[in-house]
Amino acid sequence: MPGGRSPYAGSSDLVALGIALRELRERRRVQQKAVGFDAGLADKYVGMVERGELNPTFAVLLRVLRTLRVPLSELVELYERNVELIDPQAGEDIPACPTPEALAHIGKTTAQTAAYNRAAKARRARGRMGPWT
Amino acid sequence: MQEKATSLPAEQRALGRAVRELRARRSLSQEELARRSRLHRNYVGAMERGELNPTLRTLLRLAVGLRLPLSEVIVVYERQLRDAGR
Repeated sequence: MPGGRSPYAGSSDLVALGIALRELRERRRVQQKAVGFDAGLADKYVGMVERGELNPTFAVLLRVLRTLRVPLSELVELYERNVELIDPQAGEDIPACPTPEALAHIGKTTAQTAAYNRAAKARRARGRMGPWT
Repeated sequence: MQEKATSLPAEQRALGRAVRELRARRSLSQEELARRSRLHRNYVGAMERGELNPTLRTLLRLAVGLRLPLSEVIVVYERQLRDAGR
């Protein structure tokens, strides 16, 4: 993921969902890329969901499951089994979206951009770089 | 207008009807369900009308608000979708 770890990585709810999806896909012996293509998603997307790196929408889950011919209820039942194994308390406090970590991440990248712009402006002022940089 | 690649209107409507049905079963107002789920009241209303494509975490929060496992919400959604298809 560009810019480091996804702010969602390691969240037990998303990891539990990812493991459930991977199990269903592997049962059907279909590659991630093939599922992504048939679901109209970017190549990386299915892998990111399976690793718990993003919080997928209802429509994305349905599109993926349609290619696997699996009802959503089956995925959610597997998810609940996994959450029980990984982190039984996960359901009690579902983080708000965006998470504080996501907001911190955005703040950090904004600060980095501002610092870069200030440095570039200073370099231009010293005449060491062209005006296009 | 072309359908947004990321939304599925028929499925979202069925999900909305499922939420409304389960909320009525619990005799909760939209405000009360929103408060319990820590969502905005307008969000719950829009979802029941099928206007939104919620994320997994939003669905989980709704299930918490309804005091149900998400799988039970989804079973009702699948029934609503079948009923609409008839």
